[in-house]
Amino acid sequence: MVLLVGAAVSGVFASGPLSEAETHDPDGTVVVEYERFIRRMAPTTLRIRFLGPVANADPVAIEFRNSFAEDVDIETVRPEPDHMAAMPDGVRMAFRLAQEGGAVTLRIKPQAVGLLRGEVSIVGRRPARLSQIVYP
Amino acid sequence: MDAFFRAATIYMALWVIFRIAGRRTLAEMTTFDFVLLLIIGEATQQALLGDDFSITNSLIIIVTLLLIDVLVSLAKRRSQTVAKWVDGVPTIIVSDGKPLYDRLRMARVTEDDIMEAARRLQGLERMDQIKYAVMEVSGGITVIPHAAEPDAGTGRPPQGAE
Repeated sequence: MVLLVGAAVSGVFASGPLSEAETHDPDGTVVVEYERFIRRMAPTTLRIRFLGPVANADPVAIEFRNSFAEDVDIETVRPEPDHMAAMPDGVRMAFRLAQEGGAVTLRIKPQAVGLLRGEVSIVGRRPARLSQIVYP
Repeated sequence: MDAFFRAATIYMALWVIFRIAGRRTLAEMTTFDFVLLLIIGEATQQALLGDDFSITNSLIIIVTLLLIDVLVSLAKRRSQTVAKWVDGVPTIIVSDGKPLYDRLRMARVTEDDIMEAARRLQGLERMDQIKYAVMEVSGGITVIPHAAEPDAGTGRPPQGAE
């Protein structure tokens, strides 16, 4: 019991230090902060920061692929995207960034249990890949 | 992590509230007390679960609450002081057939409550048949009859003694 609660506090069952993770694309222009362990039907946040020259592109369009197409409900996006477009395997959103280091925060709710694989990329560039384990 | 802290906070908050409210609050349940208990449960549930309705979350909360409860009972076994703090101590409310009125008032118990317990548990009819009545930590009242009536516990009148 103590072990179980200890694991819960440390984040093995989502929300805790062990659960926090960060990934970026090969160019290092898109940094995604996410949670390694999440729970089905429980909201979690995805924070996307833009570094380097891309920040000046206006607007910057990013694509969310794979798991974002089916297994995840996107609840809120802050700031609101300029426009959204559907893709066969995901969704594309365009944002205006006030300055370099600007960040977009997505609140998402996984609908499926198991392994979620997602890709976040600036249009035309190689993606940042992330995988999340969803508990029931 | 937040599930653990939510559960721990609720546990402590409820403990404080019910410690202040006193033992009698839900010990002798009327229908309304039962309904009240259900409403308290409903109100607590929201705070416990937050917006996370996953099975994992509820299991973590259940395990956390049980673990705290186990730890508290272990601490009570180890130390009398902790036990006293957590549960309080039994209070004598009738001594030698005389109700101790200031203690009755403190415990929010009436003489009728004592007589009810005396009738139910020992089959006693009058206050002077009670040697001691004790308000237990569980909130119930226990009654010790005078030794002059050894068979009082059977509910038969004293004449029935062998």
